[in-house]
Amino acid sequence: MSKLDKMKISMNENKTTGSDSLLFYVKDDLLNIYLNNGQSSVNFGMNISVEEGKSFAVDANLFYNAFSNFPTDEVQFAYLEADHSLVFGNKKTRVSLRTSLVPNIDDLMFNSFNISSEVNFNKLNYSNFTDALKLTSFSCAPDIDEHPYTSILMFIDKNEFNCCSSDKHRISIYGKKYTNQNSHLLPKSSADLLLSFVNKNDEFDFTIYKNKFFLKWNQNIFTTALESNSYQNVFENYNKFFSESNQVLSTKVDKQQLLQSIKFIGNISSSHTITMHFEADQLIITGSSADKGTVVDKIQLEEEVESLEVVYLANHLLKVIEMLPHDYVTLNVKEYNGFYLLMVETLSYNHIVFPMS
Amino acid sequence: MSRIYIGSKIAAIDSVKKEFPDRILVLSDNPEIQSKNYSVFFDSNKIFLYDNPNIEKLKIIQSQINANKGTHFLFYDDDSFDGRNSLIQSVKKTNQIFDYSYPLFGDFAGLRRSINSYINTTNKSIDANCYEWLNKNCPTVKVKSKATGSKKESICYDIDLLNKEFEKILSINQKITTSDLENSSFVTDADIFEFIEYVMNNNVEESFILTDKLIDSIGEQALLLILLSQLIFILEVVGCKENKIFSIDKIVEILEKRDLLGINFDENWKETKYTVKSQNPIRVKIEMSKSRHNSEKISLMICNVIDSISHLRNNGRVEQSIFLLLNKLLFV
Repeated sequence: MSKLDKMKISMNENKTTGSDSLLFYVKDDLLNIYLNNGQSSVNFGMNISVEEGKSFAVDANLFYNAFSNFPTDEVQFAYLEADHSLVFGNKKTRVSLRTSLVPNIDDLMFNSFNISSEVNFNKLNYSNFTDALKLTSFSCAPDIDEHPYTSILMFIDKNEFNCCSSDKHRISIYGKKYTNQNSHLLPKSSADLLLSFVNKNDEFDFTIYKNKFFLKWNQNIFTTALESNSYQNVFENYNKFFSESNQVLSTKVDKQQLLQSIKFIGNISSSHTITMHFEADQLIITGSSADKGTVVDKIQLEEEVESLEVVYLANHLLKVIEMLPHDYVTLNVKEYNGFYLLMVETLSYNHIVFPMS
Repeated sequence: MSRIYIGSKIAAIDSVKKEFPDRILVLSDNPEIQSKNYSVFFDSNKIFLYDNPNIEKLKIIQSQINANKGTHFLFYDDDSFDGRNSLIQSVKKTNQIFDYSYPLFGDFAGLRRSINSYINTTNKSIDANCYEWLNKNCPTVKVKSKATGSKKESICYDIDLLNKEFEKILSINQKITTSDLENSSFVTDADIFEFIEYVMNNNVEESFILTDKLIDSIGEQALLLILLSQLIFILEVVGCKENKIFSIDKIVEILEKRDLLGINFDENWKETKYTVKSQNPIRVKIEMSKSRHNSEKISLMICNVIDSISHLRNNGRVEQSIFLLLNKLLFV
């Protein structure tokens, strides 16, 4: 079921491709399942021995809906070749799905997973990989927005992943800053897919070959298309906000307290923005909307800071603070061309929230 | 401060890039997304060029300009934009309209000016005979008016295509000669009425060439439906000729079905309401002057076209169906 769930994500990523068939085929007397969405492909070795090897395809959405909502846990499968149908169920409930013939499986596998034997796979550092993608994918722009802001820039240095992304209202940089290293662009949708496949328990190997990211674990393989980075200037420009800005204040805040405060203000005022007013040893957060009124909340700071007032998008602040694993968050406000940028920095992660002008 | 560019998009883009070399030009047809995503930190160095924005889009662009969010230029294929819009009025007042219109077909002086202005930028030359050759053979492009409700369409010289050809020739030669130009095969827009004339005159080669172009540009269904409508028109005019009706007014009356419309009462014994689909007498006059097949043959042609439409709508293959139809129309 968990494999199907992951496949469902894979299917939904690109509905327009029409590649919505779930392929069942037998290799070395073992059942395999294959799915492709035009951008990514996955092949699961199911470790289920099958006596007679027949290949067939079913509509992936139909199969998922029928199988995931099946009322009992015990399910038996039968492929009726003559009737072109896949029957599954038990004495109580039964489903029959139309199947279609599968084109040459070897060609499909070759097109999706062909990789030179000289290419070496590297061991995936789970925490580094998931942190790099998780902490950057949320700040990508939606798919319909301007390219390349819809993708994560990714480069690998000494087997460590370094990523950065921005939707022009915030910037996330994980690991090293990009300074024209050999890099690839990973679409946000593919990053989310990758995150759904990796887990702590299995050992994963990865490689990048011919602009494709390959992930191998157990008997399974996943691949997704990467884009060549022809936007070096765009991503290099992110660094200027760090190098050309001047520190105005820095303060440590309790993460839970800050989260509760922003959520509370957001709920009452229904405003997209919050005003952060630093004054002496207090952070005063306010939210207001013309029809609902105003909310004010104060957070006591450990030390006195410079006075200033600046407006940020509440959602953007919430998102980044929620992502951070620490109990305390260090908020740095830096001045850049007369604007106050809010920077959240940890050892390997830098995030900028731009103010509302 | 906004601007309006008219005519050739390539020339407009070149002009903006030359005038603002340090800025990034962003071509857009959706100011709504652009305005939502605008960031003062990332976009202040960009110039947004909007392709034929309508009134709704102009409102969004105007609000962006008022909020001082970026530089926004407008591009229109021709000068049929709505001059009542406040943004367009302000551009007009400040005299910020840059005209890169294609010379109209037949405007030889305009064509010559365009050629010279391109050649002057290259420091190379063109043989005097080339002007004469280009007067006859210059590629053309149809510029359709984007104004609401307007069906205006002008045939112009395709200066962009011509300049691209010049660029290719000048990359290897210092001077353009007629023999260089004669090697070029310019692709021009296919005209469906030209195609119908070729079919009616059994011009096999041209009919097949134009069929491919028309299927690419308008699709096979549109091609067949326009052909069908034109054949029905020809059938009625030919029918009039065969019945010795030569008065244009009378033929127009028959084409407009004035002899049939409104002669019966409706189910409540009241006069029926109808609208007359008016016919252009000049079109009828032109058709009358042409020599056509007899009505029986044109009726057969209509049946063949209908069969083909029906075949295509029942999952028939385009390449088979159209090929068979043309063979029937041209040879049988």
